[in-house]
Amino acid sequence: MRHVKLKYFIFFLPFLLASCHGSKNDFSVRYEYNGMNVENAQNLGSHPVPTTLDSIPSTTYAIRVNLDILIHEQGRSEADYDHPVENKNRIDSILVTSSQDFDINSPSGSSLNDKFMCFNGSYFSTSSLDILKLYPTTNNDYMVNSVIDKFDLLLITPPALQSIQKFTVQLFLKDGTVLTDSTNQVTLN
Amino acid sequence: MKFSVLTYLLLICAVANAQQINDTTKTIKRSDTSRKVFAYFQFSSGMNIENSSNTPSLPYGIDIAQNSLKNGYYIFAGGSFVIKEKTDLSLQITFRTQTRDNDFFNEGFKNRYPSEEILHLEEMKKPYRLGVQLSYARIFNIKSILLAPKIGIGAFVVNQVEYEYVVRTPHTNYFDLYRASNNPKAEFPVSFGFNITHEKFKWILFTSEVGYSKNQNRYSVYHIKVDQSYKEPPIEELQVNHDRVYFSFGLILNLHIEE
Repeated sequence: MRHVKLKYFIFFLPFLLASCHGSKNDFSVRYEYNGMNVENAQNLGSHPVPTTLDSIPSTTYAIRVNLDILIHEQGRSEADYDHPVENKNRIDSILVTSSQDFDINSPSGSSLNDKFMCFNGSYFSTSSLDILKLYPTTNNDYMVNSVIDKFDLLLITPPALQSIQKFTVQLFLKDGTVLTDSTNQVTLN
Repeated sequence: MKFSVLTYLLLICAVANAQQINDTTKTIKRSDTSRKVFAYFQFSSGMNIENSSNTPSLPYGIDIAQNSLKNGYYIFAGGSFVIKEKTDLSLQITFRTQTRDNDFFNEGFKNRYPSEEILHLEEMKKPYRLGVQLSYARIFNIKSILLAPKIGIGAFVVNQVEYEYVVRTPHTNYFDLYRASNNPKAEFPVSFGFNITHEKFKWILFTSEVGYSKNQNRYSVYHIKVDQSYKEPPIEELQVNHDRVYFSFGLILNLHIEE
């Protein structure tokens, strides 16, 4: 056929345009974690906010975990499902302990993972510390906060009595690195 | 996206018809009186207006979800056989949608939990219906106006719709996450309406119809705990029925199929 009828060309045009989608090797950001610091936070509003208060109600207490990011390469694309971020040393597990006895069943140095919940920016994006799930939040298929540089640990099982605590957070990364930091001392009332 | 699909369909029909109008005119001029059946491809789009559910108060905001649904649009594509210019039999694949009144939905939940903080997922599925519809129409030529009253029957599947919300004790770490999932049963609407056009412009018709079907919804509500699998047993299961009446109107583009 020497001439393609216009109606056939228009019919196939959307399929032609849809096939021009970019290569599988397109990426947005390649990065790794190279440090961490933690601080006390309080969850009075829509999400926890770091605080320097030395006495915080246990019903609102949270630990803010801040991660230091080292970006290796920046791609051309916005982060979305076709152009995901690439983290070279993802978080494998986490351990929260305290320098003081937390309660009668949780002496100093024991795991307090079951007392906390991981909050990743939204109450629809939470997980336990033993099955940690940290995913970029999305907005219309684009990844908002595609590089996770912070998250919060909400205290969901407070101690029975007022107590003074100093929490230590250890992050175990998939490449074997362990990041450690401790909060300031805080009174949970 | 729906408007780009409609634009695309209108464009291809306009181009195809522009090429075929001359051929059709030549066919008419030859006055082929032995021709009894004409076949057409049809594309149509328009408004889909539905009656309100008026569901009474139910747990977990199910009535709020039911009563927040609003009008949407429809699209269909199919074929039509016009027999002796008197009878029109058509079979269409139809897609009907509804939208959700988000302000009504959010306010409803706030009023249902006045002492607690309510949070909603931003993205929430909207209901749609996809199915086939068979129609029979009788064509009357009234001073060059072609009026075709029609009746129809259809079979439609309705998509699963769900919503999530969080009830939080204000200013604390304590909250509950609920997910309500609706698995509606298939529907078999009956309808009546009419198509109208001028005999010189058979390639475009105005169409309107009213339809009725029994809308049966099966809601399952899950209390999502941290790390809980979505497949845990629901905490509540409810059947909510609704007499659904819809009214739709739009334009049909007729693409004559040459033998």
